Amino acid sequence: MLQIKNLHVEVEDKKILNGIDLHIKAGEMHAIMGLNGSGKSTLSNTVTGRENYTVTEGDILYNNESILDWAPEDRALAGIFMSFQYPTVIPGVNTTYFLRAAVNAKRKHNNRKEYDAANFLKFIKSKLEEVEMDTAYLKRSVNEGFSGGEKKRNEILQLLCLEPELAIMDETDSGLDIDAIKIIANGINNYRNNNRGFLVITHYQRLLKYIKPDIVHVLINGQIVKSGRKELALELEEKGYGWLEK
Amino acid sequence: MNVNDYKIDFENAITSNIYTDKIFDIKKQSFEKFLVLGLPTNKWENWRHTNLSRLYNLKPGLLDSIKSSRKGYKKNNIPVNHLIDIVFYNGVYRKDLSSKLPQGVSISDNLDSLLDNDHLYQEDPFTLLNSTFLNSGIKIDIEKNVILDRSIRIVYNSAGSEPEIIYPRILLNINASASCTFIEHHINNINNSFQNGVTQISMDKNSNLNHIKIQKNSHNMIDISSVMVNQKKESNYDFFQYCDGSELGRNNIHIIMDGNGSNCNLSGISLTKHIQQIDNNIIVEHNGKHTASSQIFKSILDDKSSGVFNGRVIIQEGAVKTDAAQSNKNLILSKNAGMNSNPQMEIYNDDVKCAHGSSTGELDQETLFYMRSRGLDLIGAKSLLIRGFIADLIDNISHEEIKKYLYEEFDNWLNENHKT
Repeated sequence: MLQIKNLHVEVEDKKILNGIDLHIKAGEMHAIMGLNGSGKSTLSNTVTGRENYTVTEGDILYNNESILDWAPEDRALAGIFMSFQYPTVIPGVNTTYFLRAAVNAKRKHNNRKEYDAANFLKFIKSKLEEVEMDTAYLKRSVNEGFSGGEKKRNEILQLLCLEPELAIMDETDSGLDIDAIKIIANGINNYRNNNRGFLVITHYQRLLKYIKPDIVHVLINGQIVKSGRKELALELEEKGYGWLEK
Repeated sequence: MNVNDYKIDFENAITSNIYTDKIFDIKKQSFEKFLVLGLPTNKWENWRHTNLSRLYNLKPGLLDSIKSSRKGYKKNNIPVNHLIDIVFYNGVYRKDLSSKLPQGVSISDNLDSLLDNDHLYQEDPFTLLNSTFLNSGIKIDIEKNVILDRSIRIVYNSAGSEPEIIYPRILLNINASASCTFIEHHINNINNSFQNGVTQISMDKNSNLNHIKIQKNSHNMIDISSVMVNQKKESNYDFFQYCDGSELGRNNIHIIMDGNGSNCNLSGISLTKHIQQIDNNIIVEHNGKHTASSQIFKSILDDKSSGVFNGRVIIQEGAVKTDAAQSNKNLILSKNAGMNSNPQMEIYNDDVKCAHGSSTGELDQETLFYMRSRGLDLIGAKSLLIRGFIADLIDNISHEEIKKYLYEEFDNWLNENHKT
């Protein structure tokens, strides 16, 4: 599904990623762990096509096609989704309007009939229940006045609505209390199946108590220094990152 | 037009028209007062950022007495039911093109009654020019206790090929405890013409007015319009304006809150592109006790267009327990566009609650990326974000049909932008 080959990335002339290789197959969940500044968010932003993240070497293949020249929206329509570490507020745009525009863009792309307002409301209601949000959120501007936990639940809601093939969860657990983490983990676990891939980026192994990755990678100074089974996360929790630094 | 051009126009006007002695005196005094003040220059504080050369290079002719022809007239419809339409065509009030009036509303086109209180407004050269040159205007009275369920729309329509200056004048009296919606709809369409209009509103105690101004003149016109409102005790004035027309559009709005407990809410959206300039010059004077005013003005500026916000709130010594808020927000879509924002408050007593602020910025790149990462294309994401910038102001319009109509107009404006 996603193949990252020898990826080197610069942001504002500063080298951040120094040759990343990663292969996520359908049905797999990979976790990337690392300290602040190790390049975790650079990796997710580069895969989703953010401006100013310059690939100087290497390639990103999605379903065997290079996506380096693709606009962010084309990557999204092809099935790549990122849950943002810091979801932005969209002032004056109410949540229903935004979600419907996004879902309809995807449906149009897939040659399916776009939802009208009434059909969309039916569609969204079951998704809301899954992340324990009530319909009052829909009337508010996207993320405006949302607490940290509400913003992250709104990200999971978008994941459930857009049904991506590859979901990148960028620090989805940061700043959340344990109840919120459980809700979010539950949303992710329900969404998991054999056709979908996950890349979970996290600082701590806390989230990994509730969702079980197949493979854990450790990122230090823009390189994957170690990969292993989920037990690696526990080892990191115990020993920290120091023993892995060169 | 320079001062000399106006002198020539004045000679022509007084020799070719027959006025009563009273009107003749008012016009002569207005013009003399104008000559003392002169035309504004960029050294005048409130005119510092207005591109006056556009106006002064324009040489339209004076409207040739009262045109009776309907030539080129096309009725303009907007999707609002049961409007009471009052039509000005080529600067002249046209009863024959206007709706029949319901009970409780009367109109007089007698200049004597129109200019009765003219001495009240003699600070501004363009208002004085309007008094000097107006040939046609109306006084509208809403009788006391009348709650008008239909909206009044004044249509400022013009068409033709000869550039001209038009001087429409409206005097609107809302008598005690009366209530109505008043829509000013500017759709003038004569190249290189100049509309110099004045609207005076007098609100008696406990009256209520919902004033909506829509300015969609053709893009090669100049429009300088003054709205002056005097509020008595416990009156409520809501003003909303939507402007996307005229090459230079200047809105002078002056609210005088004399009555205790009076309230006003002013808001507006200005949309400019190409070389357009839209200026809002607003003065709110709190004289009575327990008065409240709010202002929210937003501009969206594209291409090489520009705009000005001069907002002044004056809270007089006796105006205790005043609550005043003032906000100006601007969204710049092009690096060649520019905005001058100058919110000011002058407060002469301690017992007040005031807030003001101003911000000017571009579309937020983070937010655009967020939206695109959900599958919206760049144009769609920008449109949604730009629409979101002004949505609160349109959503606040209580008139549902106007709200819908203005969203459509706004979406048209946005779509045209993406084409060019």
